[in-house]
Amino acid sequence: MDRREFIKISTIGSSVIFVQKENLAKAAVDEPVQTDGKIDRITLPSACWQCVSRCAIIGYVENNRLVKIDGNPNSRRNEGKVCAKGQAGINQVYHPDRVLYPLKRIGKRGSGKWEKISWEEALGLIVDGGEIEGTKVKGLRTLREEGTPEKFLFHYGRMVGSDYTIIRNYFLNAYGTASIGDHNSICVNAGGIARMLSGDVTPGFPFDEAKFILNFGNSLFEAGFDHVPFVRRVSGMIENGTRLVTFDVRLSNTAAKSNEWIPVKPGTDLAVILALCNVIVRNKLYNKEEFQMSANVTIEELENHLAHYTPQWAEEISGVPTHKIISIAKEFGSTKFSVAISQRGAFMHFNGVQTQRAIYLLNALSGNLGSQKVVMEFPQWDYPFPFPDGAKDRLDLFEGEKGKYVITAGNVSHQICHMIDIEKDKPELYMVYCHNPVYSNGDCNQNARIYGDTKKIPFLVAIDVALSETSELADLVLPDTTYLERWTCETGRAPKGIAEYYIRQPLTEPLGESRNFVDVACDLAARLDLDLGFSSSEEFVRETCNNTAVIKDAGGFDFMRKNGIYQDDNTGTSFVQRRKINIRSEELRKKGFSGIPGWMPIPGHDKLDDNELILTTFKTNVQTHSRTQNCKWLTELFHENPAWINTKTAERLGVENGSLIKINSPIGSLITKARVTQGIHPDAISISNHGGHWAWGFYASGQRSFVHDTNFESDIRNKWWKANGAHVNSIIPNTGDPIAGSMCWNDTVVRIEKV
Amino acid sequence: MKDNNPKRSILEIAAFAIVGLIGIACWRFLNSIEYLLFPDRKKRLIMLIDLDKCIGCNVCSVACKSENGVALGQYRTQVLEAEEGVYPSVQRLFLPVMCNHCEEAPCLKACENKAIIKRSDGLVFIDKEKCKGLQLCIPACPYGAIYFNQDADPSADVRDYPSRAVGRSDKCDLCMGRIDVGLEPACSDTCPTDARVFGDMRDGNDPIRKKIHEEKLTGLLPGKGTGPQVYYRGGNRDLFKDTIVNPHN
Ligand code: SF4
Ligand code: SF4
Ligand code: SF4
Ligand code: SF4
Ligand code: SF4
Repeated sequence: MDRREFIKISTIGSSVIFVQKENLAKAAVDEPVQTDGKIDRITLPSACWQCVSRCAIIGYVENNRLVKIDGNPNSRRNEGKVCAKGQAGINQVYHPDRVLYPLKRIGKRGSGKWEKISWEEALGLIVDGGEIEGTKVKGLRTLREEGTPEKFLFHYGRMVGSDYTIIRNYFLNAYGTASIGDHNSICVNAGGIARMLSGDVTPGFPFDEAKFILNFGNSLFEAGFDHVPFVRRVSGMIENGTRLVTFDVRLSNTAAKSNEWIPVKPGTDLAVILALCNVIVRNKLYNKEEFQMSANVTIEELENHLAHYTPQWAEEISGVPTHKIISIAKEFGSTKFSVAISQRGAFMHFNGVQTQRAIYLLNALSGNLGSQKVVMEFPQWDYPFPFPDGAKDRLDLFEGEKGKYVITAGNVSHQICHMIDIEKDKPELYMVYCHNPVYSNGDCNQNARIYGDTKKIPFLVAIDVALSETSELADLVLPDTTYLERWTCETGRAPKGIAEYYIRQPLTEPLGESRNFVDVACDLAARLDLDLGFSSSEEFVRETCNNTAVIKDAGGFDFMRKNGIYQDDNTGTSFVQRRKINIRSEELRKKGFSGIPGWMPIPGHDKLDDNELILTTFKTNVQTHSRTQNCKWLTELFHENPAWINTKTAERLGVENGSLIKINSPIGSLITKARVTQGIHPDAISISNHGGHWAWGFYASGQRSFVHDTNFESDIRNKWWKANGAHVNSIIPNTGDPIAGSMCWNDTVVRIEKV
Repeated sequence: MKDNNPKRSILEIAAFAIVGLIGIACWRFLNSIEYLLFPDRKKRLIMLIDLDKCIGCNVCSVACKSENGVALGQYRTQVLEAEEGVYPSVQRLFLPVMCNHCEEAPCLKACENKAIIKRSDGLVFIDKEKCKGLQLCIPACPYGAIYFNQDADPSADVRDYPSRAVGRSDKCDLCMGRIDVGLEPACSDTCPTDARVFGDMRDGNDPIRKKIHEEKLTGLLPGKGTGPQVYYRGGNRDLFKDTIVNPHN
């Protein structure tokens, strides 16, 4: 069977592919086709990494250049589909501001003056320290010898699959530092903590069987975990008659494609949910038996607790009409099955943890968190190398200020730089990997000041594919490979609980001197005489494929290189008895919060004056938060991020569509265009992330970085757009919600001025 | 008693109906033997775009740029957006547009150099060898589907995009290179909701052909007599009336 047939067959549908699997194994990866009759095209399977979903892809290579990405039709998750970001992944490889050799700072921090150095010199500096612009910095060896390995702070943004395992579980543990920062607190941590507090909140029936989906602030058609797979599932369900109703402050594309959009005042989803629960309980529309078996409260307790959360009460707070709340509650309570879903729009608020817990309550009432739960085996790679002991030593920088938050899981990473600033602790070597905290956190000016201060952070090392706002402030920049030039073991779960094992493999040779940071970590370990058991990412992936029983039986590493994916058809969903879920949280009650989720107003939101609006942020469908604006095809489509403002509100404030407005927050102001629209709540003003880069290359910011080079990218002269938007994070303070310390992205009260 | 004899009206209606039915039968018959009448025409390639399913994700337009080396500033396919209604009853609609591979393609007639070719399978493409870049085709297309491959630097080396013919007109060619080796067009291949489906009107088993027949679906600007082969379903196309008209017309 040749390549052509492989593709032809595999686009027919997943069931067919499965039958053909044996044949596919024979499909040679290097048997080219010619799509223009001239140039040979080679096809290789791999995995996307433009966002957290990590869809399975295939890449086409012509003359050693990656020219096109398609979805891998063998995957039952994304079924051969990818999103715009996935398509534009090629732009990450060939973009004119890509860092292709190690850089050492020669001017002041942030001066943009760099010297190209060798890998030998760069790794020498990291391991043994040295001098940066006349100042001595300590290296990894010294910190370890001095008994302070925790002064090596490692802060990552996106680190997934075996990359995570290798760096965190092998390298950092072997080295001995537990000073590890992530990006959870600016992402979804409030949701995660709510989950932790609530206990066993796995669904009680397969999602695909839902006939009514109630969505709070989830832009599932634009972004999200498992984005493309979820789009396919939900759009398929809608086609088959499932109703999707979306509560959102804004008419997102998701809201627009829902059966109904119900606008809600920012931060008041909780009031609406409590009122929905009130109607469901009062009308006995819940699944009593299931609820009582699974929840740690009785219906009577709940009835009392919810008594004053009437629809009329919620209307006053949220603006959602009483009759709407009643009809949605009735529909939710009487449809078999109903499910409530959510995302950042609902829970990245001051009251986010309680909002998410209230959403669990809704699900418990519908029976979705009943006595039975769906269990799916998560595919586990069998790593052949013994894990080093876990590191314990950790700087006191990760929990936020003492006593401020109830339960953080050590994840208040957006406040690391604040904690450094107030001298709670001090890292000697701060390594930032695939992360841009200066830009991605709130209060960017403060971040830039602290990351730029050599007294507070003596040695700042960035590992990046381009010079970001953060790497511009580093002392040393190591050029990472893009995700299309590296090796990773990945796992996913397809619908029906089928375990999917897949790999990411290089679609092209790493450009320039860029090196996969995972390989660099192996190299650093060797220099420090730490024995990881393997010396490269490729070796790790190869040995893991050959060691994991199901993969080994299918043909091991060679099979995975050719097919990209292995699905274990012996896996699937089953039902087991659930432990109780905590509708009431004793932990929260003891700290003075409502044990059963109750209303929690957001300070300053109740009496807005005529000129005050609540600022919310969102993601558009063609960009990630911060890492894709260097992709020309995406930024061509989306480079301006105007402020959405309701038509009536705009009239009141005298703001015209397209005119410039100044938005003042307690920590600063920004100027941007107004997008006057009927599609937003009158009390809200909404600006997407993604805009206003002042680094990250020519396509993102209009600024040519130090490494700007058009050698690999000849389209640059056709860049036609001048504007590159405004960065909304710069006027949002780096606050934390009182329970989880999660970033309150959607709570800032701002004042509008005409410019 | 003039012409309003009910019996006669019924007879007339019946006669019309019979003529109509015969017409439909003939048409169906001709349709079914079209490949006998035109033996080299075994295929009529089409695209069906379901506006109820389209979520405006734009992956089609990016995939197209990637597959076809389309320069910044140009698109072979775009997703138009329109908003309608008054808060809180507001809708947003999406309309993906591309070349319609017209049966009676005005672009083809406008080209003096015979550089625009309609293949026997129906796809309309520009032969870059024959095209002299006169751009007569651009205003001739009622849909504005053709663009000119400009480059900020006309002498520029486009080595990174060998398929980009600078100084020639260009447009969607139904991903000729892909479909000729058995792949789907880049846009429909990647569409995550299957809003955009590639098919063949000559293939009796093709589900979208069936849908088009059953639901009597049409293409854009049916009044122009171009016989567009990109069919649309659902949505509210009227909202886009002004947008899809070629600004050159
Ligand atoms: S959803 Fe898009 S960006 Fe995310 S992994 Fe899938 S294709 Fe890539
Ligand atoms: S890819 Fe499909 S869903 Fe997305 S914009 Fe294009 S037609 Fe619409
Ligand atoms: S849409 Fe325009 S370019 Fe395409 S075939 Fe018709 S007239 Fe020609
Ligand atoms: S630009 Fe090319 S295709 Fe268009 S009319 Fe002129 S020669 Fe014909
Ligand atoms: S068929 Fe090919 S050329 Fe035409 S719009 Fe789709 S991707 Fe572009």
